[in-house]
Amino acid sequence: MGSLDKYLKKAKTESVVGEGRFEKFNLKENPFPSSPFINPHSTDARINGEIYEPSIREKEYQKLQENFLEVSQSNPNHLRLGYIEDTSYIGRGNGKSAFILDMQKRINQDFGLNVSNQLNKSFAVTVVPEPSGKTKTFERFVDLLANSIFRSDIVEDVLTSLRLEAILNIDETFDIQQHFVDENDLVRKLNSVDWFSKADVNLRQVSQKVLQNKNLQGLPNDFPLSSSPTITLFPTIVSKSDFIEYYKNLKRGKPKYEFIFSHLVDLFLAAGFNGAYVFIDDFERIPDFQSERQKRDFAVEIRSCLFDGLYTNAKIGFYTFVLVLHAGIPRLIQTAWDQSGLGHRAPISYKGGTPKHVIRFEKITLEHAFALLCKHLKAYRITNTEADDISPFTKGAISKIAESSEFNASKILKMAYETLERAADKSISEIDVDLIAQEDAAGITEEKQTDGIHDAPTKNLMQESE
Amino acid sequence: MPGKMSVDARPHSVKKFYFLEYFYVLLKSVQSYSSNQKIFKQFLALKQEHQLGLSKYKKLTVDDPASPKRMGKYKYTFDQVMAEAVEYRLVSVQVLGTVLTSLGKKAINKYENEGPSSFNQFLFTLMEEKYSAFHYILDVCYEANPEKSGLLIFPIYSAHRLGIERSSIKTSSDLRIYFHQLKIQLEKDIDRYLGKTVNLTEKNDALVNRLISVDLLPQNDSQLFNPKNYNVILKRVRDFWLKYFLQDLYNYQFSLNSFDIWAYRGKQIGVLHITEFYPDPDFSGRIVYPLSVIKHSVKSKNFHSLFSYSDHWKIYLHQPSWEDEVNREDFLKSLHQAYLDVRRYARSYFVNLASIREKVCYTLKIPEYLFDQFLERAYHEKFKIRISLEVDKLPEETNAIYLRRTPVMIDGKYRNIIAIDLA
Repeated sequence: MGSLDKYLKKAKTESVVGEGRFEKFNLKENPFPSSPFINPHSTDARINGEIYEPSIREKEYQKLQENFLEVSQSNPNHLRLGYIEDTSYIGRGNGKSAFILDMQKRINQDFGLNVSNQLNKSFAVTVVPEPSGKTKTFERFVDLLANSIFRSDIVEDVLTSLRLEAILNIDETFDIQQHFVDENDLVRKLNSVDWFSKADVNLRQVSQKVLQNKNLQGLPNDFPLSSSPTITLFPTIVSKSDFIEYYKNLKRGKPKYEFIFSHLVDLFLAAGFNGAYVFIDDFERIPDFQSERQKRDFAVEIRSCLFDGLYTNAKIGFYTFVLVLHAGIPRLIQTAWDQSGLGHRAPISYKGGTPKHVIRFEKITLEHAFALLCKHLKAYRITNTEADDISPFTKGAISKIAESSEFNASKILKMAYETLERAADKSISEIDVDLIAQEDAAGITEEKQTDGIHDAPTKNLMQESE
Repeated sequence: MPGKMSVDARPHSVKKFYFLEYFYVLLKSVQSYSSNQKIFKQFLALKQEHQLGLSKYKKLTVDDPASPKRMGKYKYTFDQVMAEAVEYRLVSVQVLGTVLTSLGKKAINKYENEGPSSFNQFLFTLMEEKYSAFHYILDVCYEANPEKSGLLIFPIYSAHRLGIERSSIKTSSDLRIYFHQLKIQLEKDIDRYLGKTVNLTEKNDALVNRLISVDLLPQNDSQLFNPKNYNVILKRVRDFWLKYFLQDLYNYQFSLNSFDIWAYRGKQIGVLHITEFYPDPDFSGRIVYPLSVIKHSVKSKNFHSLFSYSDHWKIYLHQPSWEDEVNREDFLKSLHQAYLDVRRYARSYFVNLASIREKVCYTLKIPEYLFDQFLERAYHEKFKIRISLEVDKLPEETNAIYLRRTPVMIDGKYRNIIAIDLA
């Protein structure tokens, strides 16, 4: 029976719930990310973009607003292709991903009405090409774009919009306030068969009314919305999954492009949208693995879809593409851009002042560094303090951190993380310049590599000489 | 397997300087003057011009006043170079002064008409004739690690590298903990890179006892050691283990210093490679590997005979030619792969070029100067990949790193970072 004892035995000393490591700094946890890369799907507020200090990129935001958001998207001459350009060759960690994530949130909050001063009804999606050369062709890129659109709520929102409008058209007396509590409730109900029957609203009638929308007249017969509602015992309602399925079953190439750049655009227009912003983050992952020929082909396809092809999008410029680049990338795609004519419409290199369609991302200032760290600290305070409380850091310490990190946002956060960890471990109550100087001297960071020499491939000269 | 040495190797007799370019500088000085005093003065001037010295890639200010101590060091180096030049009969000391021999004139000719590589290889024949040191070292390499084509490791791990904060090392016991961690790491490395299982406990104990016996390490565990001694202790420990590797594991029967000098000379010639900067996340220290073989004959066109020993064995340098398409393909593929490998973790478009060079040289077993030449060709000629080179330094690397690592010279400029894309 000896072995069963273990279930009864207790540890010699019981674990003591100690003070949190950062409690002495009035912080719940270390508010800085240990590896400062944006991951919007994470639940950790430190890396999913939730903690965001807009003042840092206020200038960039204003430029975007002035030239892209507050311009009427209904005017076919609006900018259709723009670039967010990092000015550093080592363009990593300057906050571009965080910026576009925030942009996307702001736009999608209320269909872009606020950011455009009520001028446009729009939405935003982000496309991130896959690493290691998986996204090399335009076809693959379009698949990713489709995924991004389907992953967002826009299709449901559009269906909701269309159905609501149809209901109001059929029955002028329909009281919205009476039926729907809030936005979520509205979307849920108008996409549920059950609600239609409970609320005694004729789904078939609504669906047919939707189809009468002038923008939906050119759709192919097999388009999800067009499928005539069959009279069955169990009525069905068209949902996002129908669209996903439909896209999956389309033939490669032209049919898929038409779907995204013509038919979906028609659908969006029908719901009252007049534009959409497509942010393409880490764009270099595409040309990195493309041959010159492939780059050119890609550029030609973009030109066709955005500017002068036969798609609805090309006619009105519904989608506005914003590419996120860093300093080395323009030269990578210059030739392809020029040869395809894209360079003419949205030049990627320029002399003199920055053109309207380019938003430059410079290094952040010292002031910004303060704001950035402050924001994170505030989010994790146990008891609230003044807005500009930077403890346990001293002003000098933050200046030194910013300097040592060469004003790169990502590095600043990482260094702040590491310094705070050390301070917690060593029971240091204040982080001053000296501590930062020590931190700096301690590590000469070298890049982390993958294969070590242990498994690196190498020639066997004895054999080779045979 | 290389032939067992039947020639008499005397690597211990090497003079104490690394750069082979010193020979050229000396010969040029002798060419201009005959009195030792004037030769020395010219030697100093040319040495400055060629930027020979400890931090070769740091600009020495022209009006750097030489302290007596530094002058003493220069004179020592000068004497050493002169002595060795005499041994190789490159110069001859006569009543009326020191003069160039015909061999010395030939050497200068080689440098000026054929370039430093040719000069170095010529010196090689003179050195090897006298000392056969490289033969000896190559044998040591291939015998010590046949599985890995003669790779030798010389691990060096600071306390920091092993996760121990310098500031936490105060007592004798703290130091011992570091020594213990070091011992474990060394055992791991020996297993991993040399395929041998060893127990270094006894050796480590011997080291500790020795440090105690010379009063560097207090006997009592809780006693504080004199912090002024920290660096001395570290050096002793470092040298202890380096000697262990060199003499016990690799069977090199001569001094650490002699190995060091021959290895760095060998690197300049292209007979082997030594580096402390191979980009490896787990290993810290130096590695050495052969770039040549010793055989009676070879079949491959990529090898060139550099020297023939008295027992008819020859040393063949691995020097693939750029003109051969297979070699070009190999290089471009290896270059691109190394770039992708390094970039994966760097998360930036441009990466450190010297790191790429280390990887490619190890994969292809070519000397650094050949890498530089190939890269320059690839940079200019049209291939499936397009190369971008910049002088900028990566922000996360401090100046300290750039001072110690040899940068890559392309088109007359030192380049630090590279980016590659497919054309």
